Amino acid sequence: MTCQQARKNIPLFSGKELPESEQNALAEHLQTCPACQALAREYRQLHEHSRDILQPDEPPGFYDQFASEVLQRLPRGKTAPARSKTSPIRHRWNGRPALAWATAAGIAAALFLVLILFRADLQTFFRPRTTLQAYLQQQDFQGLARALTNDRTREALVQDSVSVDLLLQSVQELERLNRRDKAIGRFIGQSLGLAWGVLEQGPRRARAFCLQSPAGEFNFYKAIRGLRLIGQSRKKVTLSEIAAIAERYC
Amino acid sequence: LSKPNQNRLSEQAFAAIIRRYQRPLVALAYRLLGNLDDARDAAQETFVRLWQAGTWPDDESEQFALLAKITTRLCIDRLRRRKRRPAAVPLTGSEAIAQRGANSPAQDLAGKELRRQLEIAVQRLKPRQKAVFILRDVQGYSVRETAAIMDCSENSVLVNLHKARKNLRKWLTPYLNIGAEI
Repeated sequence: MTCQQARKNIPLFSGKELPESEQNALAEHLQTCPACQALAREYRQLHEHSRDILQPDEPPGFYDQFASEVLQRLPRGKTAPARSKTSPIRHRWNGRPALAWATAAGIAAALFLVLILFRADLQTFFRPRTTLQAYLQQQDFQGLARALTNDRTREALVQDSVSVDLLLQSVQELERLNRRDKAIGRFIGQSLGLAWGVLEQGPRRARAFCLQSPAGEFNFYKAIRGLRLIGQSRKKVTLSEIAAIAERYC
Repeated sequence: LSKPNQNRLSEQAFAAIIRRYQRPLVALAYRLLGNLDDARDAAQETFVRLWQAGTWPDDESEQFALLAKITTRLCIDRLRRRKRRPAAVPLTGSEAIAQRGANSPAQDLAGKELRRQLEIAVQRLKPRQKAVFILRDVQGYSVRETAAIMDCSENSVLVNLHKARKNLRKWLTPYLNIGAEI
């Protein structure tokens, strides 16, 4: 353990609040480092004296009227405490309407800002069952990349049947945009890469190959090759069919 | 906290609860607020809140925990309302603290001075740091109990405790190690 790490942990050492391994490592370090030892001694001194501070020194008779004063402060009309939905722990803005309104206004402003800034993302999110075909025909590859990284929209996309040419184009465009997000890499790259492997090398070798290769860059290349091979054998293909191949062999 | 007792308490029983817990609650509130009048008021308000809610755990160990939770929340709110108003210098109750073991008179004097400065320095801490420090280091609650009273995670307790101790050490550096040097 370095002195820098030790100094970071020393405030929690004397109270034994550190995890056991760190507590032991720090104890070892303190045996060999006089500077850290001095610092630990200061904190220990503080810790020991803290127990005795702020002892109330109530004057005589301080508690004589205490209970009766509380009983006088109780809301009238009740003779016994009834169960109430009110929590005994009042929230910090109870009785402070200005703070509550300011907080509400702040949250509303933040939501509005999010709506403005991420309008395109929200549109993608709420768009019902956007077709892959639509993205490709409009050449909205940014939108497609966003849709593929969103669980909900990706579900809708994988049901669409598109021509292999369009799919190939989409994979190439996604690669060109350098949107190699984990989700895109995992879905398109790995599943299409596996499909390629299945078609060209057989399921066992394809599975071994895909388990070894990281999702992302490398599999984009395999995905394009896989699509070309699939295109030679079939006219139309869906992403879900390709995913099904992946699932069957993984 | 477990599900509280559904039975209604009589006023007599409630008065008994007040008498039983008034001292420790005033002590806790005093440590948090640094002022006996404010502490009395906060402790009384705690009991009023308890009455209004009508919740009272059966388990004795949870009874004070519930009261401590209400008091701590009330005191933090009061400290926040005070904002940057200079904190009142606390009473000198620690003067009456029993002297420790076989310390020399000079060490005891240094210890007394350190405690006095510590009492003043604690009032400078931010409300949450102060509450965590008081509950953990002064009242002696475990980190888990402190988290339950503060209604926050244990990690949050440790972060605030770390900051509080670091600040106190920074402010009290001139008074530390004096006893050891003598």
